[in-house]
Amino acid sequence: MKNLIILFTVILCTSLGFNSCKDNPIDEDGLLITDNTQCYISMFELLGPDHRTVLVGTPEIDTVNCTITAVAKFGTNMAHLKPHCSLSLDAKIQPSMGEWIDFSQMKQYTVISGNRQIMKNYKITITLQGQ
Amino acid sequence: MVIKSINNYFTLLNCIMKRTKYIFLFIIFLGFASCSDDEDSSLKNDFIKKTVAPALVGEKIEFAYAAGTTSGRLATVEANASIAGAQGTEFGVHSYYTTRVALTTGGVNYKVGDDVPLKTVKETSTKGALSSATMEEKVDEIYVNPLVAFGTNKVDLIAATLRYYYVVPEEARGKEVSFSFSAKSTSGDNVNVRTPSYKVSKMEMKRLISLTIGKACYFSIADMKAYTKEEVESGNLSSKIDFVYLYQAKMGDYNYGHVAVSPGTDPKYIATPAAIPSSWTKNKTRMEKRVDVRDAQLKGSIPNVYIDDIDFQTLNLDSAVDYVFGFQQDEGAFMKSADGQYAAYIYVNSVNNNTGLVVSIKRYKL
Repeated sequence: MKNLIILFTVILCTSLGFNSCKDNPIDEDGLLITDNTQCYISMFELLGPDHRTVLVGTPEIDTVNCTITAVAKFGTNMAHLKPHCSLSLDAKIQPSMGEWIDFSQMKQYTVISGNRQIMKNYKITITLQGQ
Repeated sequence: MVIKSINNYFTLLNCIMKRTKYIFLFIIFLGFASCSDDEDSSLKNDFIKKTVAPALVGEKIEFAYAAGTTSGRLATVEANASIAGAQGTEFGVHSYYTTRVALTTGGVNYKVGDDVPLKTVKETSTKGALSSATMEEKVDEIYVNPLVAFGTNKVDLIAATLRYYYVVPEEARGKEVSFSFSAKSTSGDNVNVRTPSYKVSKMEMKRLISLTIGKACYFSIADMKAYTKEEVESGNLSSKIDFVYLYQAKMGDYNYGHVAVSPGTDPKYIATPAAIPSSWTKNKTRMEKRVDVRDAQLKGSIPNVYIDDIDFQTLNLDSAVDYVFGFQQDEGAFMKSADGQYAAYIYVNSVNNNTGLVVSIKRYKL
């Protein structure tokens, strides 16, 4: 009887151990890879050094042509801006946003879906009021 | 050999067991001995540093120093600064208690919870680094017993918390300063406590400078002063002008507002080109706006957020432009003078679309 209990416990622990390792893959950034195939930017924001938006109105996000266009206020220092965005569920963006960056030229970002199989290149163009 | 070692071990253990009670007694004795100094003294003291702001030259550092005795009365209290304070360094003559009832005294109305001053110091003096206070003999009983109504009775002053104000002198700039507080009782007891060292800031500050539209709108960080156009020209000061303050609600179709532009900025950002004559030195002062940096010393009130030396030491304006648009009240801008001599923060205390701005400045020599 005692041997049976020990055997049962060993089998239970082993099966739990195998289950705990099942199907939760992560990518090279330590992010969870899921089955989600959605791949788009849903919101875009651009902040100045005072951590306030520099944009006039709402940016135009074209999820078909993968473009974002927006207008920055007159006098905005285009060389020192910090972008932020919202993505579809489980997606990620490269290069990472939230860093100070020069937006005086068009910038390109790649959105990668949750299953890491779909990639879309977004072109972000900011024009300055008065130019 | 092994058996001999084991025997030695048990012998030692037996010896320790027999002497256990003596060891315990010795430990208890040590415990009492370590506390004896404090327990024996009838006079106690302690302090807190009430000022949390950076120590700026010309500003006060406030301490609350408390002393109390169980034998006799408090006689005198002293504070000795490692660097003699500037004029105004002294003990305050009042202690404070928190009133539990609304009260009017000395022509002042106090609400429940207010601190009410009581005179606990007969006289104070400051000579060099040493400040002294001679204590009153009696004090209103409410100070030691809050259950008694104000003005009911006077009792011996056996304990008090005094305010000590240290005005930071110029010779302390960038150095460290510390203090030693001491008290004496009428029974002859002495007690003292020493503070840690506090770093005195290298910054300079000037508050409430008026920038007037079209008049005193030429600001020099080096002088921490706003000049008129006539003053700049007559004094040949254009090389000292770091920014020009302008106001115009709109520039064309775009928002402009209360603006600081460096004399050397792109002319398209200067709403009134005549404000900066072509013959002037065109300094390009890098600047960057801040919305949430509400320095309590520049503002003159809470929140307790402060710009300190380190903010200027680590300030990087390499990517900054040389103008700032749309100042509102409580906003400001970090700046670096074109000659690299100074870093500064300009804080906007108030905004008036008809007259101009009132600003304050913290400046750090780089």
